[in-house]
Amino acid sequence: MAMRPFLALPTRIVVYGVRRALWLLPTLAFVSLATFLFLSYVPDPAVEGGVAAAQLGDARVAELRRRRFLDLPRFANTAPADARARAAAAVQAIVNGGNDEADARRELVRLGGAALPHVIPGLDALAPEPRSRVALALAPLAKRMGLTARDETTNPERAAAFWIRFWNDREPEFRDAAVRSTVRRLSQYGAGTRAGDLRALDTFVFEHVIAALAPPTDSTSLASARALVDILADVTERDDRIGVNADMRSARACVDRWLAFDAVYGTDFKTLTGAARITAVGTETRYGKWLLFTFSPRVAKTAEGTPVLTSMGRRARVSLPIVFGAIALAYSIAIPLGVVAAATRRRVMDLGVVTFVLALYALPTAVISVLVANIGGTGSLVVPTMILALSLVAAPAGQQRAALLGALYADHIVAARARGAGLLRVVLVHGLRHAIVPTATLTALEAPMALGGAFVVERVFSLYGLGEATIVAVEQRDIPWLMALSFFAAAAAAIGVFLTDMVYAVADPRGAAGVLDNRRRA
Amino acid sequence: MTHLRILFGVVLKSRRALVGLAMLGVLALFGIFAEWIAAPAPLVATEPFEVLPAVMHAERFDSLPESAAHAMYRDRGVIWPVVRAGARTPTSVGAHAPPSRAHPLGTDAHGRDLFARLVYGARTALGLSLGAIVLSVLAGIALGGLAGVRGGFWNDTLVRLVETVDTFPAIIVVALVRAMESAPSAMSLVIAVAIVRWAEIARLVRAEVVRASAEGYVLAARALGASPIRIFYKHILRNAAGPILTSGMFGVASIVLLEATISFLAIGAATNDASWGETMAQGAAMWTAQATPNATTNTASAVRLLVAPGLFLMMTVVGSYLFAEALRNAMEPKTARGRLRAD
Repeated sequence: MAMRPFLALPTRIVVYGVRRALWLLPTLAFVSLATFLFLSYVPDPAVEGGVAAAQLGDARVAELRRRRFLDLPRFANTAPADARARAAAAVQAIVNGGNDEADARRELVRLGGAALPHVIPGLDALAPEPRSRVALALAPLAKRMGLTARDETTNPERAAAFWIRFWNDREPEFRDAAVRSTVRRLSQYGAGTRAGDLRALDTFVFEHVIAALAPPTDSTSLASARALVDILADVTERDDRIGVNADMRSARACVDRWLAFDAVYGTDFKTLTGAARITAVGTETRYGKWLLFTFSPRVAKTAEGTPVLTSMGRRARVSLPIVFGAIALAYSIAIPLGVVAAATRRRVMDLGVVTFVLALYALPTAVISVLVANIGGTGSLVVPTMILALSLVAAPAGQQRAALLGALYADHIVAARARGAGLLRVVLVHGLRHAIVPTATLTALEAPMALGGAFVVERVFSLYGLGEATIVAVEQRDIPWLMALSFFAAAAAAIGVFLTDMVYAVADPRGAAGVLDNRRRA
Repeated sequence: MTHLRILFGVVLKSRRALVGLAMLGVLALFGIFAEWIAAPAPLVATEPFEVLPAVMHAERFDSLPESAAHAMYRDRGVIWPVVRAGARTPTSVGAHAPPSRAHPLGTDAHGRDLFARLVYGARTALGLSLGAIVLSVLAGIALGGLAGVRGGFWNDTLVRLVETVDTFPAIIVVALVRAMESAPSAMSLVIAVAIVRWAEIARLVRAEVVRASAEGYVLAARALGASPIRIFYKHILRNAAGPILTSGMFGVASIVLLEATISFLAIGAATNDASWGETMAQGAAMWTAQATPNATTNTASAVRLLVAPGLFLMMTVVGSYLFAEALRNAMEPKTARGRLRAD
């Protein structure tokens, strides 16, 4: 004891608090990892229902898997499949020929302009015959880019020479900085020729156009979004545009779809270098993508287009008042009940209270709420809160009774009785002061237990809270929603425990010293 | 296991504990001998001789209509159980039938015998509790023991982990597990519940290790050269048996309530398994439907579907609560009984 310099209690509480607060971070990381591991066993479309998968065909299954990032490694992607890697693989497959060649040609055209900087310079190194096959595979791309001299691109003798000449002429245009400023000018001023310039570079402009794309808010930004989306639709041949007469809502939905498309397929059209390549080791993974789809306000959207977090906040405004209101109500009933039971220990009153509380605990919430639902009407949160509170009375009442019983036999209480203090005074003044702290600190732990009951009450009273949304999310395998839900539940719980411990430490400094020391040693 | 024997000696003197034990016992018998009480096939049949065909050839009777099953045994010497329909048997009286001699509680919304559903529901609820508690006790002892014996990093990590898991809503874990599987299975629910409940056991075991490590008998065992594992297993764990048992008994109440909640909400894919919560959900749907003007439902049926499983649920919760509370009181002889003598 003497070895350790003695710190004044407040300082020790602060130190303890900081340490506890720091523990929150690894805790939340752990919860998100554990949730991820859980959800990564959600059935794979390639496995689920073998017959259905066989009917869909390999390409469709591969796309479904890709949309859920099942093609990515879980935590570290040392070889992210960017435009360079995909182009190299496609060229290799075309050179090798065989069964994969047709797919590889399609892939090369899909990659488009973003792949050209990696394909054309390598043409020289190929043998003449494979070189012309690769060059011919690019023919549909020439058409999409609006290149003249179409017959040259389809001529086996001259296609390779055409593309090499093209690259000698046009290479300076395939520069990120130039494209970025063109996109910026286009989105600010809007002009037909600039859009044409960008189209000529094909998918090379994809990442810069996406970066400039934002959900429109007024008519100016709507026009700019429409122009940008047009370019995206042209270069990816994915016909999802903002119509000329589109209203703001459908325009925003369209932009959201493109942002989500980018989150899944964007890397195909990017060349990762330097820092971007290093971060891609973490972000181009299933875990990284799922986190993105859970928390990023740009892409994490529910089916109706509201961001996951906004929608969760809206649902929580229904559920949390029920949960916390019920807890508050339950405690305001339970503490007096516990006090009465303890003060009348081993008499009829005590037995009555204990039985009453047990009956409340055992009454199924579902049955009561169903029976009351028609009377109480729907919409208001008051009746649901009261029903949920009934089942929560038991634990704190029992705790309060036990704590006060313990306190009533303490020496200072016995002494007070001996000096002539009445039972009421002893209970309220001497006993309750100490006995209420442990009960009060239980409150934070009630919320997670009350959540299940809240889901039932919500269902019966047709309140659209977290419960309804979660059941739908389970049915639809909505991974972002489930991840966000479990993350916030853990965060709320961890903060609740932390606050409880701190309140405990501050409310009862004498006990706190023991708590802190124990925690440290044990 | 003298410690436990003393504990039971004290507990069994309490009238409340006996009431609780009786309630749980009846339900457990229902669960274990469900096929003897309600089954689509006889207990014993002759020509050819068969014993409990509903157990031996369960798949044959899985969704066989009542009349077809009865036709199989019409002219044979048979002994029938009390109710001649299983939990999944489509009866011949149709949905929402009122109580009758063949179906003492009537039938549910899918025309299945309500009494049989409740009896098999006891199997679902108690089986789930038992499985989850066994699993969580094993995990809790292993991890709590590890943290207590090794101390240091393991201990710090475990304390935080226990805190997180303890305060994590069980219903969300269940939702995650249900999202994971294409067909809901009882096993996954057991695992989901165990994932939440092991923390409490680990906390109890760890506390016992920390407490006992300072005691003379542990020091003595250590001085005699016993290994930490032996000390943990032979000297410490037995003291923790009482708290673990109490926590498990309180667990039965909360797990059964959780199971009812899950099947009431119908989280995940639909299943045909008997469950009290599922029956209550049918009752809730009927009760709500009768409020709409031109619905042709009857209130009696809705009340039956709500109240009958509700009573079973209450019986389980009250039973395990009473027994667990008696256990807890018996385990605090120094505090509770010492004080009793003082006043």
